[in-house]
Amino acid sequence: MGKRILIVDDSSIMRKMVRKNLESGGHTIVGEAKNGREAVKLYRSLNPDVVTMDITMREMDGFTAAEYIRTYDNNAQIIFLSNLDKERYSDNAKRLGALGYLSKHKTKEILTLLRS
Amino acid sequence: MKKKLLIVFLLFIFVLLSVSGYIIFELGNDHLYQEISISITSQLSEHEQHNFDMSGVILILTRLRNHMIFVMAVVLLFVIFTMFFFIRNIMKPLDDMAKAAKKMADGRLDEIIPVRTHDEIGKIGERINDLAMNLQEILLHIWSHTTCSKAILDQIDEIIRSQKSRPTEDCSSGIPLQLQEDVQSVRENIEDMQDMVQSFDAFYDIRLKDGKIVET
Repeated sequence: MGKRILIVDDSSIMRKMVRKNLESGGHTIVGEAKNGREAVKLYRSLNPDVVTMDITMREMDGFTAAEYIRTYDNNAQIIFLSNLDKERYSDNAKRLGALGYLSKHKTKEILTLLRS
Repeated sequence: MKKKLLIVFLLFIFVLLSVSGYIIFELGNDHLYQEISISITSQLSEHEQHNFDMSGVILILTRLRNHMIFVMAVVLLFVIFTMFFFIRNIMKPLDDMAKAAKKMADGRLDEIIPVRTHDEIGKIGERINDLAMNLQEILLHIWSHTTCSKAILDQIDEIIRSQKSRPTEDCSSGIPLQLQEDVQSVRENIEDMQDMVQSFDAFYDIRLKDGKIVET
C-alpha cells in the first residue's frame, strides 16, 4: 500500500527526483519542505507516514528538524537522504530512530526501504 | 547602475533648483513690482492712482515667494529621501546580489545571497540561491557516482592484473588490449569529471575529502 510522504530538501531538483522515484513506486507525496523549519511545520499539519529528510539545509538542518518531529511524534518514520559520508552520520540517524540513512545518489533505494 | 541613478537624481535636483530658484528670484525682484504697479495703475483713473497702495500686492507676492521656497524645500527633501531609499533598498541589495553571484560563478557555492525582503529583489536572491543549491546537488551527484565508478574500475583493474600474471600458455586468460584501453579511457573520463567538480572552490556546508563528502 502506498504511503503518504513528506519530502524535505533545500534543492528543488533533488525534491523533484525523490518525488519521481516515490510516485513511480505508488506512494503519494503530501508535501515538500525546503528547510527543517518548514518540515516541522508541515509534519504537524500533514501528519505523513514517512519523511525523507536532507541533512545540510539552511535555517534548520535535518537532524535538528528530526529531533523536533520526534518530540512531537515519537513514532515518526524518517529516512535521511544525504550526500554526507554515511559511516560518519548514520549513527546520529540511528540515535534519532531513523528508518534509514541513504546516499542521495541512490534515491531508488528508498523504495526498497519502504517495501521492507 | 548606482552612478547612473545618482546622475539622474542630481540632474533632477539641478532642474528643480534652477526652475524654483528662477521663480523665487523673480518674485523678489523690484522690476516685477514696478511692472505690476505700472500695469495696474495704467488701468486706473488719476484719483484711484493717487490712492492706490502697492503694499497689498507686495505682501501677496512675498507670501507667494515664501510658499514657493517652502514647496521647493519639501520637494528637495522628498527627492533626497527617495534617492537614499533607492540606494538603500534597491541599489545596495542589487549590488550585494551581483557580488555574491560573481563569487558563485567563480566556483564558490558556499556564497549565499542575503535575502532581506519578500519583494521582487528578495525573490531574485532566493532564485539565485536555489540555482546554486541545485548546481551543488548536481555536482555532488557527479562526485558520488564517479567515486563509485572509480571503485568499480579499480576492481576491474585488479582482475586484469591478476589475469595478466597468469602463465601465458593459458589462452583463456588473455585480456584483449582493446578492453584494457577502454578501461583506461573510462578512468580518464571519470577523473576529468572529478577534476571539474573539484574546480569549484567551496560548497555550502560541506567539503570533499578523500573521495568522501563531509560537513564543514
